[in-house]
Amino acid sequence: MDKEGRLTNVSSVKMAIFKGGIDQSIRQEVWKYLLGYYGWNSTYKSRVEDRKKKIDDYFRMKLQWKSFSDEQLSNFSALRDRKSLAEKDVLRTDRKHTFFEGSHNQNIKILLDILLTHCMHDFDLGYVQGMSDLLAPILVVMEHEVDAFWCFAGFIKMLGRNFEKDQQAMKNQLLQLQILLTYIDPQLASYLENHESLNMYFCFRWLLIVFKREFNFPDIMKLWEVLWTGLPCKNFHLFVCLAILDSAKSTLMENNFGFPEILKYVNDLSGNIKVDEVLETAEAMYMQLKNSKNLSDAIKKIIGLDASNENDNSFSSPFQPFHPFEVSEKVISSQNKDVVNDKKQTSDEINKCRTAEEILPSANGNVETAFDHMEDIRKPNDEKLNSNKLSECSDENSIEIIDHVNFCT
Amino acid sequence: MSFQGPEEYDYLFKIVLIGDSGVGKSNLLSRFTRNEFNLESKSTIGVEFATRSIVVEGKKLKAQIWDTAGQERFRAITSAYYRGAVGAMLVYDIAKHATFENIDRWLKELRDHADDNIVVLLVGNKTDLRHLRAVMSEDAAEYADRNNLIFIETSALDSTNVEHAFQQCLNEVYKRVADRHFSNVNIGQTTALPTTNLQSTILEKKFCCNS
Repeated sequence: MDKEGRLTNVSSVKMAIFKGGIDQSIRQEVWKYLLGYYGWNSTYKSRVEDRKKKIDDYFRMKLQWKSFSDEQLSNFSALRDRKSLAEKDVLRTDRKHTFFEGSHNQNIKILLDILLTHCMHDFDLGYVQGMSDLLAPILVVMEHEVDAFWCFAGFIKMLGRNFEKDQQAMKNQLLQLQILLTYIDPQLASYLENHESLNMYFCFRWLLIVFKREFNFPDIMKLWEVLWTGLPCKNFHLFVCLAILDSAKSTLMENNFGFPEILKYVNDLSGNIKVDEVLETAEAMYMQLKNSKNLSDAIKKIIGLDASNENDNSFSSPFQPFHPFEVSEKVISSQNKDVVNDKKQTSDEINKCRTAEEILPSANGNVETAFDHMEDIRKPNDEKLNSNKLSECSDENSIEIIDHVNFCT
Repeated sequence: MSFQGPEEYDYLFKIVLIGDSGVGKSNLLSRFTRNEFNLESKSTIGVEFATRSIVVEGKKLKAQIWDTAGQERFRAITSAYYRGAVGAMLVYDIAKHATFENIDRWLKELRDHADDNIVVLLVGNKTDLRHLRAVMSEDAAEYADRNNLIFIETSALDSTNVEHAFQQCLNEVYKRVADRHFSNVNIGQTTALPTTNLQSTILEKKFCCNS
């Protein structure tokens, strides 16, 4: 960081995250950048101001739904229905995790408050099932209602179209996945086609909530932060799908599974997928594809190699989350396109990662080869978070609510 | 992970569970197929399914029960899962009147996407919450009568009528198959599953390689 608290080498930070994830000890701060809570160019001063505004905004929105009387709610079905749906879902979201377990757990209430406040933040989208799944790990990491809200809002901003009514974004992604699979693994694609499964419907859950149900908390945190870097290409999450399918391929084909069996097998993979292996395979698949000649325009567009992206430099741009569906998204730069297949430039990246180590001391910068990475640098017990902390935070927040009420009145 | 070996059965019937979010569809499924109930089971994202075989009139019927997400928004994707279904359970929560009011919408959805001859059960779940009952049995029975549905009340939590509900559904499907309501039943060793019409999915088999 420079003397004003501005990150000086954003691209290296992102690369380090992509290569090794983030240590639990600094995850809370780094996620704020990845999820757009803080701008990559923010300074000490702007961050303090931003946070103050975010806190005010949050409680203003929270007060909006909190202040509805029962009578008003009874005449406001749109909000009432969302509330009822969210109430049902928070009670069954990650209840086995220490942070959310037990009856009368205050963190469940905070989940609900954030989700309903988000309804006021984006009323057109509202509450859609799956959102509580996305919020839970964020709340666990942030340990603070307002911070969790804004990080969640940033995540939903990236993924919002997944939840839209027409489900067109989901259909598009399933189609994109089909296109990539047909190119990368025609044998499996042909098998799926002959077994009425090439619609890829069995990947719906993976895509809707970005693999949340497939991994435990430490692993999903790592996977998400890797995807949030926007590296190494647009729609990298589709390569994650392809990597998981690659590991399932022999079972599916040897057992001659039809659609129902494929669906069941894929659903049952939950909890049995190794995140590091999957990320390694996904990156290898991407590089293999990228180095292929005669890529179709459709594929180039999916991975962001089409002409409109040629002159961008995402590594130096501010907040650059992955936007699974936005055609206009600019992720990979012409400069960075060469990194993965050019030894000299790969060693440049190693140097960049070493620089990043200074910024993120715990990030793994040991990039020996393009494939040799993804070491797990997390602490082993990061699931055992102190659930009391958030309660303290919520007390603090309730004071802020009172302040805000006083201010409003 | 392990897989069941080859399993014999005479008929394979696809049944879909539909209804509002939180009415207990997933727990009805787990109660019937695994005799399990989980008060904090996660919401269903996309589609899940489980199977169980029962014997009716000496024939082994394998029920393949599909469980879908309850939120209306996901209909755009899940409607494809109605293809090939021969039975449907329309589930509501007896303690939440709104879930009963929405049955109309679910029924319309079935009429739009499923085969005309599909067997439909109206299932009022959570009878264990008797002190919170918001939907009278008589009203539901009358609704079922009017719409030609089989009506039953269940509790996945204490198991009341769950077995009976699925049995009744499968019996009725079998009866319709036996009476040739579903013509052109596909007989043979094919492993192909839901295609474009109902007829092709009632697979009469003696042996199947898939679990």
